[in-house]
Amino acid sequence: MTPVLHIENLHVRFATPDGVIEAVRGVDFSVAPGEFVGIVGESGSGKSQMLLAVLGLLARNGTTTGRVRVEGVELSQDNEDALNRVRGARIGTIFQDPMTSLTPHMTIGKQLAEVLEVHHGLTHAEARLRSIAMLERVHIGAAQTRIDQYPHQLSGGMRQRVMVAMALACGPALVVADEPTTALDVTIQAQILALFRDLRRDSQLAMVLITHDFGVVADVCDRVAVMYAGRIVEAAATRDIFRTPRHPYTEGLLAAAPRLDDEVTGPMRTIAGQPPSGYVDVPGCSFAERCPWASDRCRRERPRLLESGGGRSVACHHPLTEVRA
Amino acid sequence: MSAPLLAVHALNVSYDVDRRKLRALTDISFDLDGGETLGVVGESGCGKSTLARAILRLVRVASGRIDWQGSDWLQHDPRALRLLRRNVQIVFQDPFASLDPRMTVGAAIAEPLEIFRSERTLAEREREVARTLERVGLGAALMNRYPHELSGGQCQRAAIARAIILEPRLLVCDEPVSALDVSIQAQIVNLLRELQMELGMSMIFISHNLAVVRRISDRALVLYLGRTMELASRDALFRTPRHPYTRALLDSVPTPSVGARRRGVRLDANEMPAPIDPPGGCVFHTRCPFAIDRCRQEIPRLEEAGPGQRVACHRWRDLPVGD
Repeated sequence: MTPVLHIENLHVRFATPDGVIEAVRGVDFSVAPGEFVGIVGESGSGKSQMLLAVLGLLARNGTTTGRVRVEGVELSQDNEDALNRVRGARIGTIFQDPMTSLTPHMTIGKQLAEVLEVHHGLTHAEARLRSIAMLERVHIGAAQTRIDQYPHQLSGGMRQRVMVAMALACGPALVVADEPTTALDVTIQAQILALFRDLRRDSQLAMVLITHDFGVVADVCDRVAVMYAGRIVEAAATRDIFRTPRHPYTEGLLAAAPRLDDEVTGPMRTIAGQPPSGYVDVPGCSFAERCPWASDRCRRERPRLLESGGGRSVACHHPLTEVRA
Repeated sequence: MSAPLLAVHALNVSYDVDRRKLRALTDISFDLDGGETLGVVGESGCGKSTLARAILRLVRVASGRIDWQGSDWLQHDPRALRLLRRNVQIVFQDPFASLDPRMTVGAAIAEPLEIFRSERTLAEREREVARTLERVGLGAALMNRYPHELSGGQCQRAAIARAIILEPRLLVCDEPVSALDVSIQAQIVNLLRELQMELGMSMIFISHNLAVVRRISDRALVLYLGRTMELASRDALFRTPRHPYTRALLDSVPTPSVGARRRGVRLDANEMPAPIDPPGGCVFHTRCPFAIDRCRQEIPRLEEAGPGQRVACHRWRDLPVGD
């Protein structure tokens, strides 16, 4: 089956006055139709830049190398036509802050209809009807009235629902959601995640969900890729990541996030130190300096992301065994 | 029994918005003992940051009392306000915004000393700054750096250093780890706990992150639209939450494991009403799955629901505990 999204050896670099920052350092990544994949990482891990590169939305000083295919069609920065056709029609996007993604001076109906008119050539009246149906699909009550409102008249949760509706408007094969619930209150986040679970059930739709929160991933994703310092360090089915994390970073990140069902006594588990800077690359494993298991080999030789069976892969010279984890 | 360090009694704060009164806090009461940590949770607009600001007298209090070791703080003369400033410090969410970008980290941390320990020599103050930097896990070498040269975690440590250099009795933390990455967040929570033990200070820890509050608090206060929904010891609140809102909040937190258990209190798909137009009766009734007519008409009073647990709900007795 042709993957919805296939990325090969993707690099993203930014030229800055202080030198070149390499935000993504050779990522291979693939999403099958209907699959919901989470990308987890901390700030600076490259998770957002990777997806912005796919969408051709990098900042002006950014460049990419590598291959990106969407449903088998190669995208490149020189081929803007292909990019524009794919973007919007085949890929829908949802960003963290719906207020900055929506145009403040246009009604939400107009913004939704625009997508449909551009990509599907619908008439104004058809687009309006479709828009109302889309709002209903994302569980916005009184869609008939809401459609003529402006973004500021909606609550934060409602605006994010509108973003989901816009992302789905053209019947995309893939939705890319970058921290879609981070700016929302927890009760509203739960509603948006419930909406994502609905979407997962009812279609061939695939989703890439970028988040720093493993809890969000557990709720909606089939598979997870963990990024650190511009590379994927571990990828596995969601269930496996939680039960038996293999990469020490994955394990550390899971242990550092407080949960409502963990022990409350004693200090919290931390990961010592800080992520490395994007300006320099170390010869060995980027996590070595923070890793409790690092050996000389880790500092010398970069571990490659290798398949370890059962759809799992890990980039580590000393992956955790189940006992240690 | 001796008076608590801080006693907040029937506190009301309102803001003027378009010539109308927005009641940011209504009738808030709680005590805080020396060395104790009170967590404050609730969603945006619940009044938790207003509470922090009211305690520090950064916003005007409409009515109520804030007693500091038995004497009313709001009546205090300027000299007493100075006492407050020395004994109560605050750490904000965004460490970059709370440090002056044109001041070195050392100068920012030394500032409270210049105001309150002006009798000391420059060299003494510098030693104190260096010691405090070490104390928060930053090397004294960072003294001459500027905030933009630090990472978010380092900046928050510097902000904490500045807040603790006078060894305050109370540290108010307003979302201190919300802007930080998970791996750094745990470091800061541990640091705050260590400092609290060392200095014996009390903390008011405001956060929307319930799991973090659970880790750090002895007791927790749940606010909704400026009112107390529940006030309970950590164990009572997290093990046997009584208020439907507390339960819904806990239930909304996604758990990083597969097949996570849910308590089953789901909010209707509507959202928090605008704070300027709070509903009558129980302010939570518009979202509460258990609301009855009485909830729409009558404001529930905070009542004892168990040892160290108070809840403002007409129906708490009728609702099953926990699951």
